[in-house]
Amino acid sequence: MTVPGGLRNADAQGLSPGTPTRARKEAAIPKPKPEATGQTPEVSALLARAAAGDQDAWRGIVALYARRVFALARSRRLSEEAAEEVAQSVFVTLASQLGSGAYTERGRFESWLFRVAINRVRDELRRAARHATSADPSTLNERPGEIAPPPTADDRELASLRAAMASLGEADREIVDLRHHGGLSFKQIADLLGEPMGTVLARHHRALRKLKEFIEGSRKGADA
Amino acid sequence: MNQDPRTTPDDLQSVERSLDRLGALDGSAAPEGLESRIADASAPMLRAAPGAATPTILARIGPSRLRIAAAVMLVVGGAIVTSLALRPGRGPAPTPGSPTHQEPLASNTPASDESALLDAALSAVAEAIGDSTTLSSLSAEIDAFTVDPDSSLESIDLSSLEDTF
Repeated sequence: MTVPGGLRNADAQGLSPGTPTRARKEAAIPKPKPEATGQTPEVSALLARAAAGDQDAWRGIVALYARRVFALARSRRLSEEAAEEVAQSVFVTLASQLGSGAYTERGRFESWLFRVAINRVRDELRRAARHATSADPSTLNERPGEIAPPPTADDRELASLRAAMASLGEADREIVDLRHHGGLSFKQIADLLGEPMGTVLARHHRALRKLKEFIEGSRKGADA
Repeated sequence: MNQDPRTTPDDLQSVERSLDRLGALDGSAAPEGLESRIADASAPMLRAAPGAATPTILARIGPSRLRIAAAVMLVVGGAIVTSLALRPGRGPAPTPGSPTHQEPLASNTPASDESALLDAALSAVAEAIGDSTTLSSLSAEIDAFTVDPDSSLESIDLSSLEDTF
């Protein structure tokens, strides 16, 4: 026997047949699953505690996301120092918003956090472009003054991939960075960019194909 | 690193895995103590975020009440300045019958009337912002200023104010 979803939800929540209609309707509204937004209840609890001034909760949030924000900044060839500055600026903004009550938790924290991060990265890239110091040799494992060990096949593959990423357009590049350096789900990326998820998926596939073609073209050029 | 299972074409899966590896590598290459430095730098903002106190105070008093109180204060201030400026015996007396001649208004206003006017104005302010404690201290300050007008204000040169009026 097929049971309507709303009634099934109401039963699951222990609503009796005498429960008012409005309560039944609210019970029938599907709540976002953590895997859909990429945010767990633990993160929501940490945010609530941090907003109340809990320093341990705040450190927990920083520990969860600082490296991902740092990685996002590094993916754009920012130096270690610049990437750390970007990450610090993002968390200062977050702390300010949480402390003042300006941030309202709606289960989309990661999208919001990485929107702030991607804007900071853009600002930093513009600033670096003005000063023409954006190139960071360390991202290619070429630290000046150090004798680098001979590159392995893995190093060469990653260096080739970085070069291929530099060939992507800005829109495709951001999706790739948010997905693979920021660790966001496609749903979160769609939220962040204000695009339909189908568009984001299509652009991601297109970017992967461009990367593959670029790498294969480089290999052929090297072999020739 | 990715959590949502999306179908990627087979020929692109190796590129996707390489990108995941690159992302993990860049994240793990973060300098030692990154999290501590960021937490230390940002935690003070959590405790004392800018703009947190001001809206609370404004919300308690209310912008309309503030406007009313400011307007009443302006009226009270204007009344005090006017009454002081029009006191008799300041500056050259105009000739009776001349266009600038005025009856000495202040001389017709007893000190008790001025005080009553002031009290009424202060009561209006108190009613407007609902904080009689602050206003009682303000009233005391004004009383201290106006307690002996004939002696304490003698030294004030009001000729410029008389020119204005």
